[in-house]
Amino acid sequence: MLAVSTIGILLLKNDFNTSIDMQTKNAISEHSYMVSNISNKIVAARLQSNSILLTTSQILGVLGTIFEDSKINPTTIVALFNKNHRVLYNNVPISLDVAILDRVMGNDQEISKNEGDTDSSSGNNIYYTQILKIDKRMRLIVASPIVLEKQNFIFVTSTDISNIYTSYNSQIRYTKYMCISLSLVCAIILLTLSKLLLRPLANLNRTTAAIATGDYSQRISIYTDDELGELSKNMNIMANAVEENVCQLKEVADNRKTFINNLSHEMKTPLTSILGFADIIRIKRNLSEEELYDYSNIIFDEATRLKNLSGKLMELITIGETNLDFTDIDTADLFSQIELVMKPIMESASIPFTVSCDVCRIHIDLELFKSMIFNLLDNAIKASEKDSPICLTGRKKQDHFEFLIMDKGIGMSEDDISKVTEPFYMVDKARSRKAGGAGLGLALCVSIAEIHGASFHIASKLNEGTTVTISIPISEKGVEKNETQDK
Amino acid sequence: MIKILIVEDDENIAKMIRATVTMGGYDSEICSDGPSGLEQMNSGNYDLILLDIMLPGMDGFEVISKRTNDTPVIFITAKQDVLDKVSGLKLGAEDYIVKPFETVELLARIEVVLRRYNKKDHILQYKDITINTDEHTCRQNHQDINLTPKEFDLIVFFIQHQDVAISRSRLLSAIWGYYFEGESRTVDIHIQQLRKKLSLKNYLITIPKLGYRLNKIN
Repeated sequence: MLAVSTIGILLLKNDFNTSIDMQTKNAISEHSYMVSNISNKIVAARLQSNSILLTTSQILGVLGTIFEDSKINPTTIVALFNKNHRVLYNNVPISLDVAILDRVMGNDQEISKNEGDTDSSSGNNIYYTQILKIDKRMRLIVASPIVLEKQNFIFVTSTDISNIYTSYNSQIRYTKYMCISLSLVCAIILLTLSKLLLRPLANLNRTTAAIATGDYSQRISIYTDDELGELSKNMNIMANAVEENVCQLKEVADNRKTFINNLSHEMKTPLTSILGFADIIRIKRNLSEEELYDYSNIIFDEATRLKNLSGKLMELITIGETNLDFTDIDTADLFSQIELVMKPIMESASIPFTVSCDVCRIHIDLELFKSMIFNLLDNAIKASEKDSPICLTGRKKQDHFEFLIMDKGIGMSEDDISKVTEPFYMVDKARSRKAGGAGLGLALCVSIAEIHGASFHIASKLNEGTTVTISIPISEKGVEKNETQDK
Repeated sequence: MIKILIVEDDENIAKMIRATVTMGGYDSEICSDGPSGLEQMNSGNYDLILLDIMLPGMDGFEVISKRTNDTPVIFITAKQDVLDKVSGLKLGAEDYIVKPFETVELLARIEVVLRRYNKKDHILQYKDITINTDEHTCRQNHQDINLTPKEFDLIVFFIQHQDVAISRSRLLSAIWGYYFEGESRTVDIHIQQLRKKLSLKNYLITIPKLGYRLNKIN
């Protein structure tokens, strides 16, 4: 912008200088024309008056006749001075005083030597020019010494060149205004443009700041094909990852909190009974034998409950941390072992128990895996009435081996199924507590299944029964065996 | 006789609370779930309700907000959350006891609430001692006995918890306040004064390693 305005001003200056030059040349040629005109007229007058030399007054008379017939540009001032700088003639009331003439002749530098001007009386004429401000007008003054009738004079013409200055000044002013307004317009355009260009960045900044302060659901809404679009896409991917992680952490923390809450509740319940009854035994006078027996029994039961809880809890916490003994086990062996243990229990509960399995080998920690199956069968017994059958089936399904524990017992609602594997969740609290349950069994089973890389699935319908399916990968060494064994 | 309703789903805890209030000389009934607890509560047959928060069917907060009479309620819960406490008290409960608790603490809280509701007789009688809790007077054999405020509170506390051994720390918190930074010596000195002033040497007895007990007169 600055460069443009500078160039503009320089061009104007140049233009101005050129026009001044032109004007000067014009003035000089006019001046020389006048000089030759004067010389001619003087010669003519001399011939007319038949004298050898005209006197000064005669010369002035000739001049008068030349310049008073107003053929000359009225803006041109003509003056004739003698060699003593005295005004001999001027055509317009504006007088060029001696001081100006002095300055013209004395101080001004010679700018032009008009050679080869054939019309001039002398071959080598020297012209002096100067621009002066006279009566608030700019005037170009041309002065030259002339010799008329063997007398030395100074001939001065002066042209008004104010219009050049005025136009120059107005152009300069115009240029300045143009430059300023253009600068302003440019500035505004640049500002809006940069604002527009930076808006996505501001958006990006705002969103990242929001994410940084913990609002992980924020996403950047820039979908352009440029680097910004790419950046915001990556930022969104990052935000997704962060949100996912945070959610996971939060879930873990929430789960832990729920777990601790439940645990503290599960611990406080037996503790309340224990503490209460112990306190009563301690402070009550004349406690009857019957009361003492009753209360101490409750204390014992509740303390046992606490013991079970802490044992199960330890199991749940240390599972997978203890040394597990993974071996390839024949499923037929496993099933017969389970049947051996469970048969008498089922019989005493009057529950028909069927076991059947395909034979193959699976890679498990035998004791841990058995404890899971026992736990699930125990649940099935608890859910079943007398004579309601329970079925344990093992079957091959492609490269997996499925354990199915089926009962026709009380079943569960959809809501319960989703929560039943959570620690401390009990479908029927009073019933579970009476049975000594802590609500950790299924949570434990899920953990055991996880350790074996097995899937754990519960299907149940209220009053129709429950089927638990555990699907474990078949050990590669045992694939070739394929006979079926029914029990 | 004052009748208390216990709404508590854990069988043993309910039994324990019942044994406790029986020790305090109150009659009691047990409800083991929310809806039946609410029903019993609305029957208006009780002077005080001891209400658990985690109940099957309907939780304690719901029960208390649905009650139709203003029988005083004390929450008994394993939840230690301050928010639970606040919302419990906001719903109009008189007090809030966190499990596990001491027997005498429960009795003392029940005592306070019943007194607030004027369900307690303001005349206490023990042997030849008559105490008027309204007038703050203690008479023995028709003679005024001059007791200091703490001595007065102590004998009232003992008469209210006869046949129950009360630890020094329990006495400290009950009579001197929970934040009293006193020593158990303070209790011992006051007990000695009480025994002397009211000739209770053979009745207000020391229980080794525990505290004191006022024996009931048969």
